[in-house]
Amino acid sequence: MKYRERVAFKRAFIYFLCCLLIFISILSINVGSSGMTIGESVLTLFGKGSEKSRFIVWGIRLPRVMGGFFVGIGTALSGMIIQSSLNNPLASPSTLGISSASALGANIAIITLARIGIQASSAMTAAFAFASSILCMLLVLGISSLRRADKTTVILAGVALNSLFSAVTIIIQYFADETKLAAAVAWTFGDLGRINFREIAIVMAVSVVSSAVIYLYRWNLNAMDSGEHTAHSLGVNTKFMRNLSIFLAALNTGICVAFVGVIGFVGLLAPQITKRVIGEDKRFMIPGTLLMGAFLVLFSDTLARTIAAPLVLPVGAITSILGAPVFVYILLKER
Amino acid sequence: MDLIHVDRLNFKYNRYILKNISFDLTHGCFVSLLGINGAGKSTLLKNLVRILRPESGAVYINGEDIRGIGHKEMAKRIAYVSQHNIPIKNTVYDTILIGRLPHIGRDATHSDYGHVEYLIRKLGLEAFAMRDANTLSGGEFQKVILARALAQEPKILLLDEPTSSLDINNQAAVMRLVREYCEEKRISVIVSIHDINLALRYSDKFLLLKDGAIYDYGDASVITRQSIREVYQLDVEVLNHGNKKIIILN
Ligand SMILES: Nc1ncnc2c1ncn2[C@@H]1O[C@H](COP(=O)(O)OP(=O)(O)OP(=O)(O)O)[C@@H](O)[C@H]1O
Ligand SMILES: [Mg+2]
Repeated sequence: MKYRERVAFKRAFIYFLCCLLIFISILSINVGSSGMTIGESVLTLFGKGSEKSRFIVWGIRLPRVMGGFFVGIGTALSGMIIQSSLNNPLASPSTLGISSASALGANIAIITLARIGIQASSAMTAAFAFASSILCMLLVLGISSLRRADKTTVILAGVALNSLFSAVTIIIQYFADETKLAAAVAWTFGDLGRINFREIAIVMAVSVVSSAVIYLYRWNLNAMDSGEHTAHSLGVNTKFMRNLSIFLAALNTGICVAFVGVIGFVGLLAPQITKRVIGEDKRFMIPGTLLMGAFLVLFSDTLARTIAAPLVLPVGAITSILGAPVFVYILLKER
Repeated sequence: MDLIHVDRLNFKYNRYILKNISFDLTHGCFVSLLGINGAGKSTLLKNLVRILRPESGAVYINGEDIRGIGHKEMAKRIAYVSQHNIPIKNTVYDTILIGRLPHIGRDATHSDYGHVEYLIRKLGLEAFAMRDANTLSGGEFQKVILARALAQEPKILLLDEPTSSLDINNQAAVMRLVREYCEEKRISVIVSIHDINLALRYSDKFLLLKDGAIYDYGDASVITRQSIREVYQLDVEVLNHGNKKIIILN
């Protein structure tokens, strides 16, 4: 039957994404303003090369690429979960204001704790970001369950929440350190340069475990796509699935934003592009979306470091430029 | 032992929708659930499949209270097709495959795919197996979600107005299909339906629901001029056509 060929194509696409990801990771490690050749960076990666190039590759570029990789996975996972639980292709952490809520939470942790003389630890920052993320998520779910709220209304509410939380974040930043307006920009447009190995470990653990859990429930998620009642009659514990989804989406958004800031639209783009190519079957859409998310972040970051070199642009600015037209396209098409 | 035993079931939203419902259903029996809009047909079916929880009373399957049955186990026994279905963005094949969910452990096996392909042939869906389900006509889509329910290999099939969006030809076709398939597999069926003649043509039993209470339950003898007048406020003529009854509006 033609079904087998379909499945083979989906598999092939996932392998293709893997290759693409390996390629962009290598490229990304090689790109930079220090003028090292490709050969030099590869040698350095394997422990050879000068003191200086070792520092550049291991201390600056590798954390950047690894951070981008797992942040991409976490953000794409959140996006996919949010889109399928709201059944809304325009929904994502950044378009619903959940990312900005997380950024606000992280800022509150860093700045208010600094006031009383404590330097907020990574875990503490992440916890604050997660708490605000889940609050915002519940707020959005509340809005979308209102009888009069159609898909566009929910997104409009998200736009309002997004502006609100970003504005409060900027104000907090402004009062905290008047000289560092750049820091506020870094929160709203994400910057992979800030992440350290400790934080990478947290993002990695959270995103990988969450992805594995979601993948374990791939059949149940497929059933949920046929509606809550149908899923229930197929033996899915729909209440549990809903709570699990909300929890994991909020957790991944919170953690990613806490360490790199808001990388907009990746959560929207990754699932949308993937499902347009290989369809909605979660057995393939889950790995496809995660790989796509990692690719989009690394690709955008590589671009961010090369187009205005030696200047490094914030990665979130690039993803937003890529994502906004797609958002408008979906908005017009879904009418 | 009866397959389904419903014991004094009451259900309420803000007022009582189902009142003191008790009935039994035997293996391989085809029941039509009749009643006007708002009589409580959908509500009753949702209570049987545990989408809604009764206020009081209980439902037993093979003597076992459904409150004690696990999610998956329940789905192996009862399949349910809702009156309102959201558009599905998956292929017909994948849509039917998801019906195998109660039987799938870690992943779908050859026997799951085999079953899906068997149903596709059995229901004559070969032509659109690879089409997106939301591009099908109402009648085609109805067959697909019927196939999804049958893929569960249930003992009991609950269908909420499966024929309401179909043309007259397809109405009979779907009913005949359900009748023949379920007779062959000895599946019991409860189908809510508005076309009384269609019900008379294919059912063994009739459950008449009026204002959330059972007006009558039994074989074709419960369909009389009197009962139709009481349940539907409708004046009809009941005729015998061969060994089947038909009704004609006066
Ligand atoms: N969520 C709800 N909240 C309050 N009342 C409800 C709800 N759902 C249904 N009802 C009411 O319950 C009653 C029975 O509804 P039900 O859907 O069971 O009727 P039905 O017999 O299936 O009708 P139809 O033939 O129109 O499908 C109706 O009066 C309806 O308004
Ligand atoms: Mg109904």
